Amino acid sequence: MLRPKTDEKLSDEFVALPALDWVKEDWSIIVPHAEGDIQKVEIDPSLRMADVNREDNVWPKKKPQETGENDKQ
Amino acid sequence: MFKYFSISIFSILFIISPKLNAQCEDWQQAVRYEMDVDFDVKNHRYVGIQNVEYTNNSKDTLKELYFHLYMNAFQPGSAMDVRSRLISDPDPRVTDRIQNLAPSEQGFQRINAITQEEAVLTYEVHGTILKVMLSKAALPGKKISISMLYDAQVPLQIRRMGRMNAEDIHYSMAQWYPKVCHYDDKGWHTNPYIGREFYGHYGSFDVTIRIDSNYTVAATGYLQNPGEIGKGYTELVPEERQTGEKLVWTFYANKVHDFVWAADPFYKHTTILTEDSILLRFFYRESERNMEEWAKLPAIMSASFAYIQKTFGKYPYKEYAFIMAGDGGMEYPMATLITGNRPLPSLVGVSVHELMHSWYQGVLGFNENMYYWMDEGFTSYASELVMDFLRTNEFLPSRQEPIPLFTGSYRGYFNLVKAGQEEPLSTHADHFNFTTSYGISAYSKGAIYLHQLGYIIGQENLSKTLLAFYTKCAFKHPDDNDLRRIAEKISGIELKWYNEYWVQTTKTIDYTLSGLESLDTRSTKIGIERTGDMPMPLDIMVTLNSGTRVMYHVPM
Ligand SMILES: [Zn+2]
Repeated sequence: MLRPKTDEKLSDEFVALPALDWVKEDWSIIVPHAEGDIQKVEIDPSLRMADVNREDNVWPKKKPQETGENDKQ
Repeated sequence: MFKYFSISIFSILFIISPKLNAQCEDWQQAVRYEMDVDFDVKNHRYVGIQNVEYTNNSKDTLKELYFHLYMNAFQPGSAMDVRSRLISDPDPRVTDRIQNLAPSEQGFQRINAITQEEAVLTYEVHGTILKVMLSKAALPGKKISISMLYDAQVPLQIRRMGRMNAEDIHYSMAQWYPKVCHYDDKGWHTNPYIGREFYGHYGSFDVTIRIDSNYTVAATGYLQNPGEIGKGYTELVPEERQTGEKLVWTFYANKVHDFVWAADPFYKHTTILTEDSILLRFFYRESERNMEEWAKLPAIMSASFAYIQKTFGKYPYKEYAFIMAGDGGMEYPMATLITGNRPLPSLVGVSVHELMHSWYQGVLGFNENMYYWMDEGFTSYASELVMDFLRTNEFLPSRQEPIPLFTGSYRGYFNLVKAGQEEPLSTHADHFNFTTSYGISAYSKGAIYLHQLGYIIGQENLSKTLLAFYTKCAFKHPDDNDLRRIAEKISGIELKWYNEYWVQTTKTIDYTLSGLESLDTRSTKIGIERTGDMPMPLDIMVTLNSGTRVMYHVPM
C-alpha cells in the first residue's frame, strides 16, 4: 500500500485510517463518536463496490420490509 | 494491500524497473491495403484484387503470413456453425441457421491467386484462416508486398454481415476482405471465427468499390470522388446514370484497423457538422416507423460528441457514419452498423454505445479476444455517462424513477455470480462455456471494473486515468496492465492486487457490518467482517444524529 485515496467530497468530513491488514476476517475501527450520537453506519454508500450482499453493509440493520431488492442475495 | 512490501522497496521498483515503465506496446506491425472490388448485385458476388504492403516491425523473420477469411464461417460445418449448435445458449441470431443455408445463401471467400513480386505463392485455407507461404521472408524491419485475386459470395445475413438483413438492407459488408491476422509479442493470432471478437493492425485502406449506380454506399474513411458520386456526399448533382451502369466509389482511410461498408438502393443520407467540425453522416432507410427518430438523431449525436470529446479525449478523424445495417449494433473504424427501426432511446443508446467504441476499440485497439471486457466494458461505462448527460440535458426523456448509475451492470454481475456460471475475465472470449456469461463478463463486469476503480482511487483520478490512457496508448494495442500502471502513477495507489482478483479470478467481495460497541462516552468500535474472498479498501460512512456525515476510509 502506498497511500489512501484523497477526499472525494462525498461527506462533510473525510478521515483516512491506517491500512487494512486484508488477511484478517474480523476487524474493527474505532471512531471518536459516542454510540448514542451515531444514527447510521454504511459501508460503501456510493454503491461502487461490487459487494455481492449489500444488505448487511448498513447499521442499524434494515427492517425486513425495507429490504428485498431482488438483485441482492 | 501488500503489507510485505515496504514503501521504500516498492518505490524503488517503481522507478528502476524497465518493465514497469513500459507502456502500451513497444512495436507493432503496419499494413497498407489497396483493394478493388467489382460487385455483382444479381448474384451477390464480387471479385476482389487486393494488394497488401506489410511492414514487419518485430524482431522475428516471418516466412508465412496469415489472413482471416471471415465469410467462410457462413458454411455448414464451419467452426461458427458447430460452436453455435453445441453451446447450450447460442446467440439467437445464429443458432442452427448456418447449417440450413442453401449453397446460394452461403458465404465464401475463394482465393484464386497470390503473388509476391511476380512469384506465385502457395497457400492453404483452413476454414476462416488463410496461410500464405512467402517466397521471400518478411525480415525484421522490412516491408513486403503481396497481391491476391479472390472472389466471394455474400451470405444471407446471419451474424454482423451479409445480404438482406432483418430490415431489408441489401448489403452489410463487414468482415468482407482477406484481413491480415494480427502478429504481436504473443505471436500470430489465428483464431477461427466463431462470431465473437476481432484484433487488427493499424494501417491505411485505399478501397475502390464498383457497384450498380442505384446503390448508395456508406463506408469507413473519406470518399475520394464525391463529385462523381453525388448521393448526399456533395451538393452537386452528377449526370444521370443508366440503369445497370456501375458507379466507382473510392474511399481512403488511415490509422484504422478495419474497413466496413454497406450498400442499399434506398438509403437516405443526411449530415450534421458538430461544434468541433466533425462531419456526422446518417444512412438509413426511411419509413413511417423510424423517420421521427432518425430526424432527431443528428442533433443528439452532435451534442454527445461535444461531451464525449471533453470527457474521454479527442476524436482523431474528421467524419463518422451511423449506418442502418447489420444485426444490432457493431463498431467499426469511423462508422457503425446498427439496426434502425427502434424507439428513440434505443436508437440513441445503440448509437452512443457504438460511437464510444471509437475510443475503446477504434483508437485503443485492444486485442478483443483477451480484452473484450475492456472493449465492451469500458464502452458500456462511458455510454452510461453519455446517456446520463443526454437525460440530464433533456436530449432524452429522464427516467420515470431515477436509479443509480450502473445499476444494470451490478445486477447483471450479481445474477451471474448467483447462477454459478462466472468465469474469470482472463478467459479467452471464444472459450466461455456460456454465451450469457461471456456477455455479462464483457459488458457488466468490464464496466464495473472501471466504476469500482473509481471507488478505489477516487473518481477524479479515474477520469484523469482514462484521459491519460487514451492519449498515451492511442493507435496502439494496450492491455489491462497499461491502464493499471497509468492509474497507479496518477493515484499513487498500488493496484496489481485489483487486476489479480477482478480479472484473473472469480472471487467475490462481501463485507458485513457486524455491530457497534461503545468503548466510552467518546468512542465506538465498529466491527467489520470480510466474508468474501476478494479484499477491498473500505469507505465507511458514519452519519451522526446532528446530520454530519463522516467518511472513514480504510485503505489496503
Ligand atoms: Zn459494444
